[in-house]
Amino acid sequence: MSRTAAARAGEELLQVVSFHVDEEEFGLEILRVQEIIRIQPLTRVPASPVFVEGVINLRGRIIPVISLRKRFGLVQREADKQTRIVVVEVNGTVLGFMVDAVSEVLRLRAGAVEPPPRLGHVQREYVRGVGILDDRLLILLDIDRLMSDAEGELCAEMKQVEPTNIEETP
Amino acid sequence: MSNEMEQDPVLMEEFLVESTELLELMDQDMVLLEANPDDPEILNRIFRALHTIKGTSGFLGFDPLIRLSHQAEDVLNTLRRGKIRLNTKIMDALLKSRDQLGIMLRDLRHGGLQSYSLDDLLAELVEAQEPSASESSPPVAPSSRPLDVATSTPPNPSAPPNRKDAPATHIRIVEMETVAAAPQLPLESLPTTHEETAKPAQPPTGEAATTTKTGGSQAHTLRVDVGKLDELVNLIGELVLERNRFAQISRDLTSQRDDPRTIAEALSLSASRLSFITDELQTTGLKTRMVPIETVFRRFPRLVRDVAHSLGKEVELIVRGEDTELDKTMVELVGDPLVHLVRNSLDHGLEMPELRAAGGKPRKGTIRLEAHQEGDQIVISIRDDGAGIDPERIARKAIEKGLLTPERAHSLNRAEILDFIFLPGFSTAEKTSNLSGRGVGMDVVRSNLKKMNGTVQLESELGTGTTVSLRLPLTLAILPVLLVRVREDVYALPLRSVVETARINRREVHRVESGEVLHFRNRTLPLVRLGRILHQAETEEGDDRAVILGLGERRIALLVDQLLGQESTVIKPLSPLFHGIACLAGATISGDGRVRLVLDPAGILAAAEAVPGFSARGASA
Repeated sequence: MSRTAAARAGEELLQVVSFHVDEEEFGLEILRVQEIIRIQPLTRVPASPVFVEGVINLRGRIIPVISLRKRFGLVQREADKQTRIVVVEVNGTVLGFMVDAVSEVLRLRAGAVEPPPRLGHVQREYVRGVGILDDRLLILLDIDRLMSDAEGELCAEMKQVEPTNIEETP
Repeated sequence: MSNEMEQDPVLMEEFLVESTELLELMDQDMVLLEANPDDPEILNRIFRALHTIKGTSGFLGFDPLIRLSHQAEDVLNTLRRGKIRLNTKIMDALLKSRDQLGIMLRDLRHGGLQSYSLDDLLAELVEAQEPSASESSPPVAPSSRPLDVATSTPPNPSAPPNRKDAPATHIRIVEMETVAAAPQLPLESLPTTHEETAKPAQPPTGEAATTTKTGGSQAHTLRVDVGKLDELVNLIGELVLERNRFAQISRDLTSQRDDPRTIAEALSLSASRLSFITDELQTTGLKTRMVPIETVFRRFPRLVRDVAHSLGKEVELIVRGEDTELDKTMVELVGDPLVHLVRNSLDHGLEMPELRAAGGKPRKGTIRLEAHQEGDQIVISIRDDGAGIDPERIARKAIEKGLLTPERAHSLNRAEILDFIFLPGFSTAEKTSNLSGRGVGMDVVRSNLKKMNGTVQLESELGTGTTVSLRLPLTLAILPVLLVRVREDVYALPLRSVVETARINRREVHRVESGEVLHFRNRTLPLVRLGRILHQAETEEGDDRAVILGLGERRIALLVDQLLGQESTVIKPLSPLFHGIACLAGATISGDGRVRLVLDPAGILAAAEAVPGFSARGASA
């Protein structure tokens, strides 16, 4: 890569929505987010995977809500005023991710995204990279992979973490 | 590469839909013509259909289609002028041409025209026109005996003619001659195609798409009666007016000029009008999706003719109630099961003519294909006057296949034994024919029907015949349900599976080796606790309300905590994430905006039943 190209790539800005789950701060590209809604009355679905919190009515559409806490095998927590549902589209289906809180929309230089290091709760394969922002670390989620693994899985068993090469930066 | 890919896709779609429809009509008319060879009206109808296909193909530049339709049209024209008389040879050639045209249309839909060796077929068409040919072949049987024509070469619709022994030079010459003799039709006789423009099918709430997908290559356009559309537009007009009134009320409310009570009155009036309009809009919208079942029935005269020919059987097909309307999606889904059933009747049901005569029956067998509406259901029945099904043979077979123990066989009634026919891999045909008898038929019929929330029932009398009845809901979109509560969760049960509800006494519940049963109205029913199968709940408190579910002949008692009443709902599909969950049919949205899950009675039955044979899948060849 020539120096000018590298410089341009470094200048490219990535807009991400940042949210909290447990202790970690996550980022999701803004283009992937359809909307962010407050917590709603959920209807639980019997015999569904444990990370499925239930289904909600999103203006006449019925969408499943996935608890990211459960997906990552974290301790359960009651929904509160801060709890939000981040609505995204994955593989053609609309679904919601339940998160502890949504904080802000951030601009991130593409050059400030690094390949994932070892992380505590989140498996590396679901991470696209880590955004470095002043004194904060933002875990950029790979929701396609997160959900394609989730489908067909009847329970969110922790998978064997295998080192994968996730080098792609947009 | 031919130029068909460059065509305007809209034009192309219109051509394909129209031509496919015309071919279907031709199929029907040709079989009719065979029975009434002297009816000029039928002949003209076939001619016009073919002419339209030829005309549009010419406009779009589909060469093989033009060549073939032109040649077939020529034969029809010679027939019209009375130069030759219709015989089986001509009919077979015409039917083959029709099938070949169908193959070409299908190829067009799936990417583009292939190369076809049409020489053979064209030669056959040319030959058919020669007067000598009509003399050497026996004339077609007169009317009222439509299907008992004997022919040495049964037409094979799937095999394209590719033998290379046709003299190509001969064809070229004749082709030139026929071009010269081609009829010059006056413009008025060309059917106008723009009066009825194909409308894109709009699923009621955008949700029927899940079921439509199974339609595969079927056309996703729909012809709608203009009257129905006008009605729809009128209602939308009223909706707009009502919106304006709402806006006015909102302004009045903000300005606080009017008495709040007057505003409240206006609001409640407006709300009730709005509810009326939306109800009307819903029914009218659904009506636009209704099509006559004729579109499915149309293919059967030809199918019965061909299959009867190849089996050497004599069959009369009687079709009734073809104007019965049902949802477009259903029409698409019900086609394949019906073909299976009619073939079964032809192959296994009806006996050979000699056997029938020996048994004191008329040589010619009868198949009745009927449709009618019964409340909010459509009933389609296929009845034959054939040999019927021997329950003892079914029971033997079931025991042989390990699906039934001899002891249990004694306790089953006729209907329960006949029900084994619907299990995967179950076929009683002693020898496998290429039509049916591979044991893939009846279970496919049942599973297809299940997909449509329908049921299938079979009645058979040994020696007198078999009747299979399909029951379908009028539409997939609106579903009357019974709401039930289990602990804090509310579920909806499709009302059509609910036989009755009752409050039960604990003393009527008995434990048996495999579970619980309920003694109810002198019957013993398997008992299922909804809380237990859905949530693995251990407590049995409170669930003393029984919903008796009926699936065909089977009944089960479902215990719930509370019955909340009935409701008419719009069913919506669940995310693919939940497709593995058998007990769920979909979801609806309740008045307060919450999601309510709709249970699948068949799935509940499957979850409750632990009979080994029922879960055996993939046993079919």
